[in-house]
Amino acid sequence: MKDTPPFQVESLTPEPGTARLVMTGELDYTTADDASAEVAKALAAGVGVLEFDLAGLQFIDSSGMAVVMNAYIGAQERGTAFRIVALTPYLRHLIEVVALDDVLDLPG
Amino acid sequence: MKGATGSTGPPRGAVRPAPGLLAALLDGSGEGIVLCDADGVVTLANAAAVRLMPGVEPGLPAPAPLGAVPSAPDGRTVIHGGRAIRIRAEAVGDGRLAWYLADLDAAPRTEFLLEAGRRLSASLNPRRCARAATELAADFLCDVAVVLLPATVRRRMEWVRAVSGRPGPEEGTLPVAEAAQVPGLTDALAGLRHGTSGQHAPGDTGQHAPGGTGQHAPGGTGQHVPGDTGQDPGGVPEWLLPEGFGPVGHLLVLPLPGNGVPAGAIVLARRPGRSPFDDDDERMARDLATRAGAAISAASLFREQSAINAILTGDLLPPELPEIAGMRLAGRLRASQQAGAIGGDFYDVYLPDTATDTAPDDGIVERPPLVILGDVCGKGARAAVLAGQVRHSLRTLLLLESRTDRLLELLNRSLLASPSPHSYVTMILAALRTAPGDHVLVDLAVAGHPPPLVLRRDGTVEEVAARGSILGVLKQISLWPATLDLAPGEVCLLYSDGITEAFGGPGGREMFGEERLKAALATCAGMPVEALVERLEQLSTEWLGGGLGGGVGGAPGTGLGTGPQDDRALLAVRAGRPG
Repeated sequence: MKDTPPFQVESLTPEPGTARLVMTGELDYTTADDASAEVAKALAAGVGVLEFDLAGLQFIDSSGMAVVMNAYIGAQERGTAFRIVALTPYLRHLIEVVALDDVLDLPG
Repeated sequence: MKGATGSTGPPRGAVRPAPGLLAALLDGSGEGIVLCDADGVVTLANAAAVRLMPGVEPGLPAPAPLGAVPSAPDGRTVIHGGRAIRIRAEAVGDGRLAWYLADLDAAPRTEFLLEAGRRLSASLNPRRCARAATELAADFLCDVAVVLLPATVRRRMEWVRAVSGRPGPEEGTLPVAEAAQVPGLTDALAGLRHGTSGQHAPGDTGQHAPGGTGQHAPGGTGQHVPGDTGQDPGGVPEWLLPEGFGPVGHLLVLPLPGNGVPAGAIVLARRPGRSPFDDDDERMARDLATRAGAAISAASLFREQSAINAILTGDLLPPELPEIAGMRLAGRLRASQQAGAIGGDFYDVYLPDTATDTAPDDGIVERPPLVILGDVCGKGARAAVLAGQVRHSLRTLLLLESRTDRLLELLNRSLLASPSPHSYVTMILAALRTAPGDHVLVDLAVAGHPPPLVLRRDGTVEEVAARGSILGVLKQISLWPATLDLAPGEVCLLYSDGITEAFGGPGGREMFGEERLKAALATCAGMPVEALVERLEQLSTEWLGGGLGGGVGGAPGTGLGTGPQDDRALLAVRAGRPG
């Protein structure tokens, strides 16, 4: 129980103008603020593309889903492209439940 | 002072300090110093000695404790006048003795402060803090202690009173105006600090009660001595004291400083036979008042916040489920046990408008009963408020609109227009129509929520193929509604993700999951619907408890590292008559 990896978010620049946030661990209401802060930072930097790599998430709850939706809305408002480049099967299922699979740019 | 003591005796030939300077030096010492001649008569005593040991007076024989010279070099402890004093003596030549008196009551003061801290921090209830303060005062400082808390309702203030040697404080309320009867109390309740500088001169009964309520008999009672900063005990009203207490000798009234606003006042009273409140007593009383004020104001703040929380979560309380002909409803809502993690799960039932004599053209739509179950993204008071808003918005919309897809679109627009950004809600609307043969038709519209499950008569469980966008994200939502036909005895189950995302199981780290929920539901065929939701809730609770069964509340293993325990909501509709 104590070996739960802490939540971490790492900001990469795979190519100029693109910010990729790699999130690992548990994204829930205790860690959502950390994630949101990184999203805000990336958007404020004026990147053209915001990417989420969520393949390393062990758990995500509704507050975590809210981080994804906030990023989608925030990116749309700024004219920034937003896409999820990697995710877990469970997260894909959750995105289908909220019926955002047609709206979000997900990996094929 | 060193030169005047020790075996060498007073320095001879050195410049003698002026007598006035010497007296000032001696009086400046916190330690009592008494010089006795060979006959045991006091020739000199500094201020501390006079204060510590009543009876010490130049020209008179030294009181008994200063008779025999202690054998131990560091002296001995004596009790004199109710006070513990450490005394030691040194010969200063010609048979004269210098006595040094140390006040040991400083030690009880430390003990008192520790005790005060311990007792006052033990409660987050303002009244209990007040009780602790009066008990502490009655134990350490006075015969009667009364704490008055600021007026809350109807201009009445709460009081708590403790009497030395009597069990348990008494409590009551009284009109705020009565405070004017106790000298200094109105000021203390207003947070004005009385007697801080000890400027009361003998005979100065000056109470500066605003509004000129100066109430006490002039001529003073003569209780004041220099340094006695206590208030005039004259004119103490009966309500302040317990029955049969008799007259008051000495009174001390102090404000309880709160967090910005006064937290109340404390009144300490001693019987006439006891010594007046001296500087040390007042210092202790002020320490107590400061600590009690902080404790009471923290507890009051906590109580207010708890009350606000209760109001907010009260809005989340599920309604009583009504009887609806041709079907049976049952629901369970278990709020998260984690403080500050009040979630936003909710369910509700909207019966058709019952106003029968409505005009035909008033625009109120006719519709079947509607049940809803939903979940607001996020936690805490904000989620609770949003959940309440959604329920009330829907109640209003239902007066004018009955189509479930249209209702969800309207709610979505209302959420997007909400002044608080990122208000996301998932929910299911289920309109319930009875059909021939005791069937129930359920018109389902799902917005971002796990789709309902159906339990068929033969025990098979299906997931309803209805889905749709979460509300509050997209300007245009997509909906794929469905209508479900329930034969008698069949059940439609709405649930929140708190059920399926419950972490636990044998390893403590596994999600309950949809498959387990489906399997559990399959075992409920034929059950009354109340028993069905109870069983599913129980299974999920046991899963949270690590499969230990019964270990419900603690949910071991969910506290550290695992996802926080969420709300869990279940609502089931069973077609046909019970049985």
